[in-house]
Amino acid sequence: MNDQHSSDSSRLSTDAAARLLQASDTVDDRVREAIAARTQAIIDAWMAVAVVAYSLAFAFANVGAAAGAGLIPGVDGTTGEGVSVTFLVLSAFLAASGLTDGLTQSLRHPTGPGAKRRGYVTASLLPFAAIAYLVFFAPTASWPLALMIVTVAAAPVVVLAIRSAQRAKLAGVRRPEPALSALLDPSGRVGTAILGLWLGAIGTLTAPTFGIAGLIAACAFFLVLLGTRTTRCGLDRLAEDWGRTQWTAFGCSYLLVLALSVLLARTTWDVGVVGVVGGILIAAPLVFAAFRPAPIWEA
Amino acid sequence: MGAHHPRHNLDDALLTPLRFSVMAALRAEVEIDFGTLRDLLETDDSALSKAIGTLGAAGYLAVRKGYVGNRPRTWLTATSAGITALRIHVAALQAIAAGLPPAGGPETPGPDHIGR
Repeated sequence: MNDQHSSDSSRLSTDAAARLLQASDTVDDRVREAIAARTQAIIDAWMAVAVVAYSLAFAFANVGAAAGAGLIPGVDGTTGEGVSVTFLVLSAFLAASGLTDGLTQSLRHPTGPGAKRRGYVTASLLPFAAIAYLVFFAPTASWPLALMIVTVAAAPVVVLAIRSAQRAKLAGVRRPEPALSALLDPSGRVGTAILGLWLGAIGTLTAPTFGIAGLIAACAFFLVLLGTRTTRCGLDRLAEDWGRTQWTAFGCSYLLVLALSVLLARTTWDVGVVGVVGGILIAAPLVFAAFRPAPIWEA
Repeated sequence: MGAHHPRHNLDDALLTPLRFSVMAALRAEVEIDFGTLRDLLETDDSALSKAIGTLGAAGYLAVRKGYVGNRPRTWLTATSAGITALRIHVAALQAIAAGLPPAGGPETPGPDHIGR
């Protein structure tokens, strides 16, 4: 492409105008593809971090566990004291998956099922496969062995997370700081606050003090996630409206859920109090972020 | 005086295909690195530098120097005046392509009225 006048403005023909408009659309498509690729790289990096955090929570919860005690969050999380963290951890992970799926689908040029994509998905599943192996085939494994197995299984996804982060960092197309920002729309504010409060409630009710209330709250959460999928109240829609503040808040809540699951399984403190404090801490970031502005993008 | 021809709304700074494409690339509220823009537009360094110089002088884009690691990068963004000028230019092109006068007719500001 040269920087030469193809025609004078007074002689611009109908065809030339149409060709210029077509070229403009082509350029616009290429730029949006580049933005989508960078956004996908960021999503992949953070989702990999979420998977690794989940795996580490599993490994830490297993540290020092007696043979067969079953301190495995997300899979077989019933301790001798009757604390079940299975549904607590699963709630946070499903929420994270729903949000990132929504963000991926909102990209104008979502990444297709190519070889790289399949590799990423396979690497992400390895830690879960390792956890399943430990639960079903080696439930009495010692903690160093369990930690080693999970660490090795998580290694590929760690590598992919680093590569994705580097790709995003080196990308030549990026969105600058948004010029405009505003509060989320009412449904976005309510949805974000409810997500935080619900995760917090599941965290609190997971303590054995509350019986099976935690299980009921988690099951209701799964049903709502399923029922609102692709609707305007769903997490996928919420993800499109969120800005950096809301995503950071969700990351904090997610990590707090994992921390609480380990603590509930391991602590000698009053689990009722731990559950209440943990639940409040889980809910607080998202409730706060619900009332913080998010960027507005014109295109 | 009746509706004037849409060509009067064409912006001189956007009349070359390359300068028009540069602004088209930057209109999506993005910041694009010089090398990436060169590749996206399938052009060369000197032609792109010349186009950026013209558009920068018109006040249609802003240039920011930065680093990614140790590598120097030149980032380009469209200014609000550039985005407005592009919109008017595109509307004029659409009118020409359709063989119709622009919707705004004589009230639509021409390029001379856009802040440069």
